[in-house]
Order: sequence, then C-alpha cells, then structure tokens
Amino acid sequence: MSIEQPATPVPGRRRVFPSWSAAARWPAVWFFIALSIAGIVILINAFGPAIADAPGAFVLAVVLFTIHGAVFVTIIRAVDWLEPEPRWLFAAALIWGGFVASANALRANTALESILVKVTSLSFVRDWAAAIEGPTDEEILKTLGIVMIVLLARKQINSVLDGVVYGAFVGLGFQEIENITYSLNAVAAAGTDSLGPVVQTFVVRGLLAGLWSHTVYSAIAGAGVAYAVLHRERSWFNRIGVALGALALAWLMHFLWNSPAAASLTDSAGTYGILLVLLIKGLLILGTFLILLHFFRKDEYEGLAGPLESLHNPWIATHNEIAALRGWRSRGRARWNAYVYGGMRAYGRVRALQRAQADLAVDMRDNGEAGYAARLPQLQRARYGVAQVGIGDADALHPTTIAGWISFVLAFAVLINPIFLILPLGFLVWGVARARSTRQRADPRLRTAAVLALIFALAYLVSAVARYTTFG
Amino acid sequence: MIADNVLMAATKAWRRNLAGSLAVVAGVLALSLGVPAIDGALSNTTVSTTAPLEFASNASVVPPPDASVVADQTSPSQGVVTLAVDGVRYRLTAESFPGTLQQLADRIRAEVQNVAGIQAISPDQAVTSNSGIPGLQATYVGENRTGRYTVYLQSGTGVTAVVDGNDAGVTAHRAALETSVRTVTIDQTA
Repeated sequence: MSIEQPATPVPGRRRVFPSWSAAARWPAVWFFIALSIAGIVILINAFGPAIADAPGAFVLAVVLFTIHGAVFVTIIRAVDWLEPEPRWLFAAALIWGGFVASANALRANTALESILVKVTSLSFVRDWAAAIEGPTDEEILKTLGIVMIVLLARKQINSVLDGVVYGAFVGLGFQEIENITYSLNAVAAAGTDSLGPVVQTFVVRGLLAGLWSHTVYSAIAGAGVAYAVLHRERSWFNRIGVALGALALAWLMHFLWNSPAAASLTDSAGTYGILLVLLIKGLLILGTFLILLHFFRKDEYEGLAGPLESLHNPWIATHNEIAALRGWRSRGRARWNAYVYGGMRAYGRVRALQRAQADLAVDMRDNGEAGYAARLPQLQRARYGVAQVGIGDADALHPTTIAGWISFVLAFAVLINPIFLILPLGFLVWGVARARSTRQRADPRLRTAAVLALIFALAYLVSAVARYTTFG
Repeated sequence: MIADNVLMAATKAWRRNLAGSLAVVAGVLALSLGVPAIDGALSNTTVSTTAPLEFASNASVVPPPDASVVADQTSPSQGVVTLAVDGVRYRLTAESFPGTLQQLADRIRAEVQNVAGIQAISPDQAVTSNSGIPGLQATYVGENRTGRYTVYLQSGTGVTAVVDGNDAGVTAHRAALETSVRTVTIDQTA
C-alpha cells in the first residue's frame, strides 16, 4: 500500500496523471477497468431479466436513487471541501462500489449462505445469515476498492479524511446499486411492473436506513487504509493493525445493523418497536462515525491552517478568515455575513476567496514555496474581488438573537402543517432587511431555520406522494 | 545518470503497483470464485425424516425419507427450502399472502404453465393437511417429466409445495412425497 508514483506533482494542478497514455502505463488502471467490466456483466446477467420484466419500475428506481445519491455526493463534497479530490477518482470509487463490489458480493453472499445452510441449521441461517454474509463479503470487497484507489492515485491520499471520502464514495456506489436491485426484487415479489414497491423501497432503504448504511461503513474502513498509507514512519504492525481495526469496526457496524439483536422488543412492541430498534441501531452507528469524523476533519484543518498562519499576511488570509475555513458551518457563516452585507455578488466573492485560500494552503503543504507561487495569483484575484465589494475581513463572527431562535423553533412547526413554512421565511426576509438597514450582521439561524423549514416541507411533499402511490 | 535513477524508480514503482493490483484482484477472486468453490466442495446435508423442519419462522414440514437440503436453492430468510430426493426436486415456500387460496393456486399455476415443456395441468383439487389446513393441489406433466403443486393458506400465510422431477423418480417416491406434503403446518401465533 505504499506504492509511490514517480510523477512529480505540478503545483497549482490536481491532475493525477498528465495524460491518458501516462495512466495506461500503470497496471492498476487496467485491472480496475477489467474488474469493472466483469462486474457490469455479472449484474446484467443477474438482473437483466428482472429489468426486462419491469422496465418502468427500473427507470423509477434509477431516478429516485440517483437523486438520493446526488444528495450524498453533495454532503461528501462538503466534508471534502478544504482539499477537493479529483472527480474522476470519485467516479472510480463509485464504479468500484456499484459494479465491482456489488456484483462480486452477489456471488459471494449466495455461496456463503449456501455454506451456512450446509454447516448450521435453517433457523440459524434465517436469523443470522444477513448479519454474517453482508458484513464479511461486502466490507472486504469495498475495502479492496479503497486500496485500488490508493493504487490508482497514491498522491491524492494526503490525510485520513481523504481515505474517509474515498471510502464513502465506494460505499455510496454500493449502496445505491444495492437499493436498485432491492427495488427490482420487491417488484418481482409483487408480480407486476408496479411502482409502489419501488417507492416503498425508497422510503425504507433510502430515507429510513440510508443515513447509516454502506457509505458510513466504508468511510470508516477508508480511514484505516489512509492511515496505513500515510504513516510510513510507524511500524508495519501498527499500520496494518489500524487498517484491519478500521475494517473490523466497519464490519461490526454492518453486523449490528443486520443482526436480529433486540428482535424480542420488536415482537412485543410491533411497528413502533421495529422503528425504535432501527433508530437506536442507526444512531449508534452514525454517532460513532460522526465522532470519528470530527477528529479527522480537525486533523486536516490543522494541517492546512498551519501554513496559512505561518505567513502572517492578512492580504493572504486574516486570522478570522483562517478560523472561518474550519468547517462548512463557519465557511457558510462567513458567506452569509457577506450576503447580508453586499448580496449575492459579495457572497460569491467570499466563496472564491475561501476556495483560493484553501487551494493555496494545500499547495503550500504539498509543494512548499513552489505551491505558494503557483497559487498566489488566484488568491490575489480573489482578494481583490472581495476588497472591491468593501469587505476587509471575511470572518464568520455572528450575533445570537431571540428572533433567530424563535425562527429556528418555528421551523419545526412545518412538521405539523406545511403552511407554517411562511413563518421562518418571513423571519428571514425581515432579519436580512433589518440588518442591511442598520449595517449590522444578521443571525445565521434565520437562514438555517428557513432551510430546515424548506426541507421539512419537501419531506412532507415526498411522503404525501409516497402515500398516494402506495395506497392510491 | 539522473534519467537512469528516474527510470529505476519508475520501474520499482511499476512493480509495486503491479503487486498491489494483483493482491486486490486476488482478494476479489477469493470471494467471487473461492467462496462458491468451497460451497461446491461441501455436500448437501440430509435432514431428519421424523422431526419437523422449520423452513420459515411460522411454517414447517416433515421431510420425506432420504431427503437432503439443496443449499444453493434454499433461502431461510425468504422462507424457501429446496429438498432433493433421488433427483426429484421438492421446493417449499412460505410467504405472507393477502389473497384467497384460489388466487394463490392460480399464481403457481401460471408459473408452471410458463415453464417450457409443460404439456398439461390437471384441475385444482381440494386437499387438507394433517393439521387441518385447507389446500388445493394439481398435477402437471411434460416431456419425460411430471410434478405436482400444493398450496395451503391460513391466517394470511401461504405455503406452496412443488414436487418436480422425471417420471421414474416422482413415481418411485410419490407416496413418501405426498405424505410429506400433508405434514405442512402453519403457526398462527408467529
């Protein structure tokens, strides 16, 4: 896993290979292509007849889970904002998860269940097969995909967070293809090319179980792979141990989700018991992941803030601006301040400045002086643009107001009736107008409340459509 | 000299890339081909012909003599078990079914009719399991092939039992298979 690619990184550019012919020299590229084609063939063989029987349901499943996947891509890209990875590598990770891992897991899971039937009892297999097969076959196959990403572009793994991001993309590809195949199975069980089973699968697997699924498991495994790749100063025992430990944690999370644990509670408490157990399991998995993610993001931020702070140059980045780069919330608050001050133009200028600052920090970390020199013109243009709209310090400082809190609470009223959407939106318009007239900052909770209320209203709309489609 | 060093480094990196790639491919193949190979090397298990076999959480059957579980056509989580008796296939499926007994019978009849080579299917006849569950049964014939399906429905759970094989095999084991089909139970409390 310590494959070094000899190509010297070019400051200011994030291309992994200088050209396609250069890429074609590496064995990993060809093995990746071959395995992807084989995976697609296996999936077409397995699900081709089901697609031919229910083309309408297949199209709906593809559309719904593509939208679902796009939301996850947006979230992962936000996590990865400081040092965005190349898009084609994201696509490679998605392809591995969606076609290589899922196709081979299909074969391995079937065989493993058959082995379990032979060596245990039917009742054991009924209860535990999903908890054993899924984590064992699928987590290993997905983690091999993360290793393949390392082989394709070792230079792109610069922090543990990078491994998390690539792992998340491998997991997301797997998750969405699996969701589509589950939809096809549900339609086949219903016996007709109906759309109801697809919507039901979307609600259950996409909305109820989507947050704590393969994307999270593989992100954890990816952290372990990245650690093993990056910490070459540590012993092999340490590096492999951490990578296997991360894989074991991903396996455990998957096992917990698939296991019949607390099944007796669902027996006694019915539907609410099932939902409660799902929620407890899901929050345990998601909570563990978010705690780890916090530390991974902190680690990456500190690695980039250091070079910026060392410059002591407020034209490059003020102390407040460096602090604002820390997370998506603080970056958003700095842009919000700019929007309140100078509208969408100022918002865009601050966003461009933040991008330029992050790019400069990344290039300084990776290429030192040469990186600084390569990125400086981009930063100077962005700084000039921000200065033009009258902003000297694009900070994330913000007031906390009673109106902001009231608006935030009122957003939840949309869950009762979508008509209440008007309240947070009204507070937002009023708050921004007032801040502009008094040349003050506005509470960012006004914006958060409005966004939350819109999401709730959208969820209400989706559930209404799902109810109508399912029950007529 | 510098060019030689770069070339050496590139060659070393290429070899390591190849080794790493082969390791990944080996891992994928171990799961995709190795696990099925292990499965193929293990023989199917025979089952008790006296104790009921729970093939779903709420359904059981007493298998016929000399029956073994065909593991790769069995999915306990989906309430499906396939038994083999001298080459005769005996498949039982338990599922939640909201319709009537006749609708359940019509569905399996349609599936059988779609199988290539099926020449005739008898009308459905009423049967009752040993535990008193009402059911329907029909026999079908094809080229050098015969079979029988039986469906039971109780409290929203439908059980479908399909016996299928060549003429000689099914004839030799007809009585034992029929006895087994009548031992199907559906647990109403599950």
